[in-house]
Amino acid sequence: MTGTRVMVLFLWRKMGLYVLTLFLVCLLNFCLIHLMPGDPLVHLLGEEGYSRLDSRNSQSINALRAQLGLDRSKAEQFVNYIQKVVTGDWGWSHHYGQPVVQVIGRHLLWTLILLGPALATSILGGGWLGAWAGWRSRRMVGQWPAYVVLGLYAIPAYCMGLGVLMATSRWHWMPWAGPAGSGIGIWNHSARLALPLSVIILQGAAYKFMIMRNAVREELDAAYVLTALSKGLSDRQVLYGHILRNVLPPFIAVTALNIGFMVGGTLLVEVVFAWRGMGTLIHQAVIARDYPVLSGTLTALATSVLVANAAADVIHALLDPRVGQGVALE
Amino acid sequence: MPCSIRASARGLPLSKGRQSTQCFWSATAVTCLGAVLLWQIDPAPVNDPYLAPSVTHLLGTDNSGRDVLALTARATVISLTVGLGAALGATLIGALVGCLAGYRRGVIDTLLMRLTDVFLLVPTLPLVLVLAAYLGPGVFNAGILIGLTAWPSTARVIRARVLSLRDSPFIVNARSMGAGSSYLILRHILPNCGELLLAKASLAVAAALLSEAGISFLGLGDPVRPTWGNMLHDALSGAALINGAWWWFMPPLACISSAVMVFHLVASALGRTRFPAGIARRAIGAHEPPRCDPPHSSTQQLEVRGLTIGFDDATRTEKIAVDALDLTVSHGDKIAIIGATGSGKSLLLLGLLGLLPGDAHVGGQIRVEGHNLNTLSPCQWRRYRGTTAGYIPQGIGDALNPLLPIGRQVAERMWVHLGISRRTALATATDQLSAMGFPDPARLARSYPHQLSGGMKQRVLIAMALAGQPTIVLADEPTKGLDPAAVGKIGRLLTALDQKTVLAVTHDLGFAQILGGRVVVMHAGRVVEQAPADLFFKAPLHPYACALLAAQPSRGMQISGTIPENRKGTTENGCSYRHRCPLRVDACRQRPPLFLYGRQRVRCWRYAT
Repeated sequence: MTGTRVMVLFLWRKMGLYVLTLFLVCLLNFCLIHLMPGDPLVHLLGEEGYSRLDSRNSQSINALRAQLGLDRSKAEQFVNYIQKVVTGDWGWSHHYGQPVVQVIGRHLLWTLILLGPALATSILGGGWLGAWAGWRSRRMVGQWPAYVVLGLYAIPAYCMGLGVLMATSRWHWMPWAGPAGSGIGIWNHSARLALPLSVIILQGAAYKFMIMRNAVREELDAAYVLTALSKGLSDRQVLYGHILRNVLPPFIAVTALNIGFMVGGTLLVEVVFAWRGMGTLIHQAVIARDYPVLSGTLTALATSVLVANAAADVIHALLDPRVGQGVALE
Repeated sequence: MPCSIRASARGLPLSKGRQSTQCFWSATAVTCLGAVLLWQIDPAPVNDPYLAPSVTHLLGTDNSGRDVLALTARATVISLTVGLGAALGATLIGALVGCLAGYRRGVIDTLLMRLTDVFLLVPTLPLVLVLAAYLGPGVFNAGILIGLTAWPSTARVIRARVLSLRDSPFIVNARSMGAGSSYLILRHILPNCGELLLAKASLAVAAALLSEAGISFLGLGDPVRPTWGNMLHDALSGAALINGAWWWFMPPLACISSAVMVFHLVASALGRTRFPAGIARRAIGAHEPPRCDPPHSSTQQLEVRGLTIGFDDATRTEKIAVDALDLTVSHGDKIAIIGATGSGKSLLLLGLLGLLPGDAHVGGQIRVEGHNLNTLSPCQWRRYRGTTAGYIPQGIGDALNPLLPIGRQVAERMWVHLGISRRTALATATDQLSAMGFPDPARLARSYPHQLSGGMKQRVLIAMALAGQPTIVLADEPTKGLDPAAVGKIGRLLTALDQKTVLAVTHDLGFAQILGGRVVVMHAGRVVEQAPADLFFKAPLHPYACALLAAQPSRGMQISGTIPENRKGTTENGCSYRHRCPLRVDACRQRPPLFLYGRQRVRCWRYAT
């Protein structure tokens, strides 16, 4: 069937864009390490490691340079670098004394534990409430819910986290914050998860609420809504059966673009609550000037965001028959 | 020549938001003035650390004894400077990229848009963080990086606007007079993006403030130049939480939040896209129920008594759209309601369905089969719409839901109201479609509205209305925008419904003639003539009806001039047509009643008996 073929073509084009994005992120990382003023070895080993090696003998430095391929041409080095990134050799973290991939893998897991439920809850909850608010806005003249939500949206999640921590710091009966890890029970884990998760959800849901509410409000004037009402359908049937169908594809597209913003917010919340995820990792890597880890976090986070976007594209293509028939490819 | 180019551009929608633009600039000026004043305050570390707020230190002191109020003032200046600067850079880059891509199109557009997409996909905060880590800490590094990474969303919006402007008549006109590209972009296209650019710039300031705060919060800020994020960083690493020094957190926290909120509100005031102000919207299906009149017994199928529909307009006077309308319809009648655009005939149909806009004032009484519609509960209303009154919307436009298959849309009414399963309903819907003369109804049931022509959509809508086995069919301009062959088809379909009552609102006199039955002529919300179709087309009585027939081939039937506005308690007490009537007499200042003249009814003093 041609319909599915056009849909597959649409998805392939999107995937091409994602691969290009990843490639450019790698190129940026490469340029930062190799084209910045100063010796690339300093960026790779850290200043401390470099001076330690340098003071011992310059021969071992040259040997290391040859081993890392730093004496070859830039183009050759770049091809080499891409190969390494693809095969999972992301360099050595001098701060953690471990391969970067291991360090990032461990921390990324904790971030995803926070981010996954937060994304799902905020999209479903915020979207659902926003849709109802948009539908109800035909009757309500007052706009106060929209302003309350804008207020919530304006407070960055980590600021909200700081405020909440301040308020709860008197109650010591529960471990509100702290590194989650091995050795503590499920109770401790969920207790430490509760606050960061709820501030991220609150802030993320506020954005989705605003987007969804406005999308539904704009749809209210469409002629098909009058048609649906004239059939004697109930509010629920019109909203879920007719309006949401039309609003969901653009809503998903906007939400997908917002994932990157939510990742940033999550990183900062992690630092506030000392959650042992990518945010804390970046924080420590910045202090320790651990450049391989920093580059690695960018690659890893960009990849996560792209995967989420790809998932959103598939959902979009399934929801909108026009994509399948090549009508709304842009 | 350039003079005429300019003249052609004079009608542009430029002045619309001039007021909000002035607001924006004056707010900026006040901010700058405040910044200069605030900069004079010097937070010198001469006090005790962790002092709680008191009279001498309104916001207390931090861990090294600096006054938090003075620190906040200074941080505010730096944060806003960085935010505004970065947003300015981002907006300039975005405008440039958007204009280039939208105006040049082709390869440049593709390349720039791919680049924009890539930037939109990479999570901004990690990207800026990594870049800032390499460039070294510092507020101004951060500002430059934010400016270089925050432009893509602006570029996208501007490109879309430029693409739509580029082919608009005034641009084509200017180009045909020999205007060059740079002249067009600078003089015609950019000025029309002004509002949008300012709105995006305001959002960019909010985003830049957030990014800068995030970067500084992670310790990549400048220790010498405090910003809000920097203060939060110092507070977190300075053990403010453990010492309970809430006064150290709260000022930067409140500043960030309120600044983000203010810039979002400014953006929405400029763009009017996100939060339209609290104006009651004309949303359908949300009006208050009509005021009840004393009951009236009747055996007619549909009886409308004194139906009045009005709206409040900007000057708070009530504008009457339908004026004390009486209409009696018996079983099997075919009625064509004709009249010019704005004569209130579509509102009459919506009134019969209980789906008037939310701000409509409704009076009078509608009785269907003897039941007063004013007393129906919402549930009874839905049942009435689903099974008694079948509404046929206009086929052109998006009356069919673009994302649902045709079969489902036709069948929906049946499974909701007739209590049959979805499968049976879909099968019945296919039968219904084949009765509308579609050769391959099964295939049609699976297709989507964008695959259909206007005439096909109209026939699908008729099938949809008939699906609920209604006794009254209400059609809203069923032949609008159709070619004569399709008009004939629709006419035959509707006349074939012998047992059903058909009420069709139309501009199309030819269609009214095909429909047969009775013709009702409306003017300015009043019925001016009611006559059997055969009589009406031979010998119309009312001067307005005569003019309508004389102007027959023209579309939309605007004869000349405008329809007089009918306002409650103002002037319009006489005949609504008297200002343009060639036969007016002094008596026309009085409001004429409906006179019976043979088998015709006419609202004109000439037929007074």
